[in-house]
Amino acid sequence: MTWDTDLTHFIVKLDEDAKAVFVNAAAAVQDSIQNGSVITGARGQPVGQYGPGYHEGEVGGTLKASWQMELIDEDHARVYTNEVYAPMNEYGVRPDGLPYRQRSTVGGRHSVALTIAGWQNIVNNEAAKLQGFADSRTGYANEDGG
Amino acid sequence: MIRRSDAHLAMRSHALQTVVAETGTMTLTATTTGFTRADAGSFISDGFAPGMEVTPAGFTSNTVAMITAVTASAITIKGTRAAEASGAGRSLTVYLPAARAFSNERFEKPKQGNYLEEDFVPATNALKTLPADGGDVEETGLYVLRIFGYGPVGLLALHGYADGVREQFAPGTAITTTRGDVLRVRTDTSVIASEILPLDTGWSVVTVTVPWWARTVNAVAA
Repeated sequence: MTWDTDLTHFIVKLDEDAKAVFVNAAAAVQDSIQNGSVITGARGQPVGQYGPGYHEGEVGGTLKASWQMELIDEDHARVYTNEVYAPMNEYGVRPDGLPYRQRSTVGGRHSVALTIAGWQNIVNNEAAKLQGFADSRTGYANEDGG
Repeated sequence: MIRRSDAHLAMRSHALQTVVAETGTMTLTATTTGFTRADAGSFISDGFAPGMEVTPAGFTSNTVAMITAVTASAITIKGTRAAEASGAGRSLTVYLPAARAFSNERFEKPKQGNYLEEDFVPATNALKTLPADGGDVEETGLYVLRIFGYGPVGLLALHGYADGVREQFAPGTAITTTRGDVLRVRTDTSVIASEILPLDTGWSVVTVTVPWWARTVNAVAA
């Protein structure tokens, strides 16, 4: 192995790792918004819980399922929803102006804002996982490098 | 670790110091329909807009009033007030709405007026330095203000309120709690104001989200 060969291998590995971190981080952003994340503190999307006396027969989960992740190119991804009432849940407002009350026992508000605020934590965690410095169960980086 | 109640109250207190628009101390006249000025300044340039609540000071009557129209030299308010001849040492200021739905407190929504809601949202909590006992703990979170404006009055009032909060919580702003802990407005991702969301009942709302972080000393119980 020559120095040039080693350098080429290193550059290729670096490029592969960077792409892997990007893709995994984009997926982690979607996961944080949809399901919540201990890395960002996001609560995830609430899920409508219906039954006798309250929208009986309806099934919840529409908003949560509506969040999509699209890889646009090697440098850009988009996480989005087309549900018209998604901002209402994110900000905690109701169309009728009455106080927002969450009925769902899962999820919460401000998941997008918390995910944005936690972006660097997401990237750091994905990079650590790639290097083997993360606990695969929690996704948290381990202090001992294992 | 920072006490959540301290952090929440500190953020709230800082928010309530927001000045959205002001004349400063000057010579002003009160008419039966509002206020006028005769200097070279402009109420429009000072940031006043229809839909804002204006607080007079230095007059005999300093009742807060809703602005319905603004020109460079005149502010018209909803309803009427007592006229007062021109006098110095007066001011007009717009603060955040006086009706405030604070967390877990009784609140009656005004029939046709502005009001404020808040959320204190703790997020992450991580030990940053070792050893654990005496190490640094870094906490992050959000402080969210929702400003409701009754319309239709145009976009200036709600954007003005949002801009006032954004300036009050400029990146890097330090907010000290009563116990001396310091929260800071983050600089890597900073204050975000939402679009104006119209609601069904005549109100519109703008949401301002302030991301904060704080570092305190960790104490491990013996």
